[in-house]
Amino acid sequence: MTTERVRELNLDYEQKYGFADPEAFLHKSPKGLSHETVEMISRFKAEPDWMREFRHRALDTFLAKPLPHWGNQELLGAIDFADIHYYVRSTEESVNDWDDVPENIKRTFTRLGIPAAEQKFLAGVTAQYDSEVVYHSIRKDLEAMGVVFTDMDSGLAKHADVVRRYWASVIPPDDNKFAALNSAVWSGGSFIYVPRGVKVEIPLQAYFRINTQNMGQFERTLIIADEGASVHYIEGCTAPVYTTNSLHAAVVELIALPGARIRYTTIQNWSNNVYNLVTKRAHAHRDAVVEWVDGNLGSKLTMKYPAIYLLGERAHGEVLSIAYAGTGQHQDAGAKMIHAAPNTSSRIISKSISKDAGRAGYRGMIKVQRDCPGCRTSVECDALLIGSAARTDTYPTMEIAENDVRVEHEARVSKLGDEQLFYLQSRGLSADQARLMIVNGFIEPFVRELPMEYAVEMNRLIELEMEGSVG
Amino acid sequence: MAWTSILPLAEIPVGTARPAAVGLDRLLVCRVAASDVHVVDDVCSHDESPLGAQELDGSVVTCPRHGARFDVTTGSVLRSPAPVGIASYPTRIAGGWVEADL
Amino acid sequence: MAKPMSATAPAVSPADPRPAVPTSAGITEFSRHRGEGAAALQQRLHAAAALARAELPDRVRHLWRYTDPVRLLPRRLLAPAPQDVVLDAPAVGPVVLVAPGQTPRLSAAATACGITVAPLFADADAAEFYGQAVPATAGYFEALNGAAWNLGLSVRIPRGRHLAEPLRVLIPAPAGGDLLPRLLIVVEESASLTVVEEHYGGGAGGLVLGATEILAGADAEVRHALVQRWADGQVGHLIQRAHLARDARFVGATVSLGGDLAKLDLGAVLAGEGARSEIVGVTLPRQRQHLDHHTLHRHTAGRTWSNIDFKAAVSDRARSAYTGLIRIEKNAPGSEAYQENRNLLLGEQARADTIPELEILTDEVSCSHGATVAPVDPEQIHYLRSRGLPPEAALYLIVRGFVESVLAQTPDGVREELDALITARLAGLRRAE
Repeated sequence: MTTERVRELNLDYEQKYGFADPEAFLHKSPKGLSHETVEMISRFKAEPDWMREFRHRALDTFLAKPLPHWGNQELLGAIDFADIHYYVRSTEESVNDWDDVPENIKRTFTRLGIPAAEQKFLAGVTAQYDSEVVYHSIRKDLEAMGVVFTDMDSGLAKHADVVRRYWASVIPPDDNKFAALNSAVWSGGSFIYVPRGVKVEIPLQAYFRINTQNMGQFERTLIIADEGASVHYIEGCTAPVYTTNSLHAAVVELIALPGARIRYTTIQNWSNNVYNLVTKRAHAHRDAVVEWVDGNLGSKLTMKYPAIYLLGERAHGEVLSIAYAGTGQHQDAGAKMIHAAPNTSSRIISKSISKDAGRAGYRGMIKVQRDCPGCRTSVECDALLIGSAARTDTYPTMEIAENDVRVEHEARVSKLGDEQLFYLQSRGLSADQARLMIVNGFIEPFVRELPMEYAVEMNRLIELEMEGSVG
Repeated sequence: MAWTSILPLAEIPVGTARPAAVGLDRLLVCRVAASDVHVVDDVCSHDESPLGAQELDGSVVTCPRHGARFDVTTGSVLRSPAPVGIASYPTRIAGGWVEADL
Repeated sequence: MAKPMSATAPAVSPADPRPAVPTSAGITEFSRHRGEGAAALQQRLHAAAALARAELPDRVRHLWRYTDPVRLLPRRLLAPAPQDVVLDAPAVGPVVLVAPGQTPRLSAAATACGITVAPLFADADAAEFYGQAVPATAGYFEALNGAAWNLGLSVRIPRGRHLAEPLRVLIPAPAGGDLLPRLLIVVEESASLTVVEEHYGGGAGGLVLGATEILAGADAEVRHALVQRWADGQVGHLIQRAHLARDARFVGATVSLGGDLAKLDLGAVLAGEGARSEIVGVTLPRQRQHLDHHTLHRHTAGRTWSNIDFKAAVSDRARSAYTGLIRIEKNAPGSEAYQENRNLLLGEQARADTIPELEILTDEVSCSHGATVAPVDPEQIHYLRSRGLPPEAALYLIVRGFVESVLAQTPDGVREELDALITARLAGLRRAE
């Protein structure tokens, strides 16, 4: 396997590699990452040259960059980049055998009342979740408004100008090692463009129209809300998702042009073998609003710090984040707000729950640049610990170079309180019911922001987690 | 105007940028063309660490750590993850030296 | 017993700004020249071995994010403490002047208490605690001081004794030279002592790299005021760590005003059940000062309590950097830890960085922290102006009020003095335009 640039491949790859078909190459491709693999991914997708070049340069950046020196060094160091398939193969192939799906996952499906067909999709046993009917009717309405909502591959093919204008403008490949990786091998994800003044009332959900190829691994999402537009996008689902693809490195870029509004809700519940390393960032222009609603329930290690660059006056950013870590999980979550214009404001609420031997925390950055008077920001971090082996960390950084500001940060760590439990039990609740009530109260500010069906499922899932029946 | 001598012009090959320290200031002297020199802060506005000596890309300087880019003629930011531009100073060449008004 | 090092120091490349690690021969000679005994030499050699392995702190670590460690490096080590210092001793009280050739002046009360003030390692009962609070293996600057300290003092108050008046330790910095002071303060079981450690003097080209170890025995009470009022141009790094045994109580108060660049690394380890620690601090950077403070509270035993109240009021183009870590270990259930950092920005170009951090490894805790950054509240100024105060006076009152809570927690006996220092500094404040 070569890691050198493959030049003029289109002239002689038949000769060089003995076959003409990228798909066939990818079917047979070994694990590991190389310029050949990147070339074949790009050809299989019939991408324009600039995207192919972009991927190759990103691969060079990925190979040159070291792993972060911070974060969970033990888990990061355990990633074997050579032992991963970087391109999920054809959608026609099933990925997993139902018999291989862990029992605790199957049990959760049942307890959550997930229909059989959906169960098979979530477990990766069938490749496509058929919600065509629902999606179809939504799609017609959107088209009438001029809204583009499609997968990223189609977006690149059919809306090349818009995509190219904004592609990597928020997160360049050099940003960090995992953004470089995504930039080299991205596949799937969503592309959304909302025209000026259009307000999309219903939340757009990735879930209805994706297949396993698009679910996880190296999704790349780009959302542009033009001036005065607004949109709410939801990705993920509360139910656990089982996958054998253990490295996920997604990139999400949001651009909110003046006066626009974007809300991006994520509920992530990957199975406990997954490394979920995500770079998510938004540019909010004058008078724009961007909100990240970020729920981290699954995965072995999640490192994700949704960020908002407040680039125009009176832009506003919010991050509402919850992280739940049970034994064997590390949720290293947080948020970043960069105030680069006057009179911008931001709010971060982070709630984390560490249960048994789980580790959940907050890692954040608030920066107010010089000559940006009138900025207001507040950060509130609450950590709930359940069990003597639980661990939580808070690493909030604030760098303030402007004196006309209000910056407030507050963090609290507490144990699921004996006094509270005692009080609720004295009111007739069992210990389990009391604990659940306290936890639900704790995450209520987050659940309140979810569309109803998600909220209902979320509450059910927390109940299962608290019972300990999901492992 | 208070001109401060920074570096001899001859020490800066055409098409490159060289760091220089003046008191507490860390500066980057960028020679875009033989007689076209610009002085900016040698600090990336993203992580506040040096941009460092490098080959220029026309009049663009790139941060080696995360790829932020700046136009040395104005200091304005051209690419994320830098959120804002960097300070640039009026520059002239006098007596074989690059001088800036800091 | 430390392994003997090779005779020649490892070559340091031109790009490496660190001073060469001293050879064991060099250290032995230095130690002998100072008239030190075997114990002191052994500790120096151990520290030099640690220094050889130590890297300069990584800027990625929050502790060193805002201050470049290269600016704190001496050019070479094992130089004797410079002699040309200005002595600024107050007239009364038990005073210990830590400067070459100076003898401590103890009051009758201090002597009656049985306090032992001696060169480092001369008092064996104190020396047995050497290196426990600031071990050479803790990091680059810890190892540096451990190998090359050139001014040392130990202070010990015996079991059950109490000294009400503060013991002053004055450490004048030389202008244009390197001073590496090292203090060891041992407060034995059930004793109580207040120490004021005051750094002053110095000037352009001067460097002070100090380390202070405080050992508080069971049920002991220790108050330590660290005052830094270096002259303009001075650069310094001070490490202070207290180790608290069962039921010990510690109050650490810091007033940090001087120097062009100063970094203070302050902390307490609550290592015995029932221990309590309070760290309070105020810093008032102005002009182009860069003052960086770190506070650490580490709980390694249960039923311990800690609090941090750190305030910065930043004027002109100055910069305050604050990092604070509260770490509660797994085996410290029943701990409570609180922290507050408030920053007042008085100048348009003033800057405050703050990273209050928590690492909590057990659930039986109660822990919270807060940080704020804000300018002076215009309504407050308006109110005071409407009461007839001129703008400078109004500003002075507000900032004075801002730091009041910290002053209130400083030890009795030093409070007036710290108050006077702060008042003098605030007297020069001008409102941000």
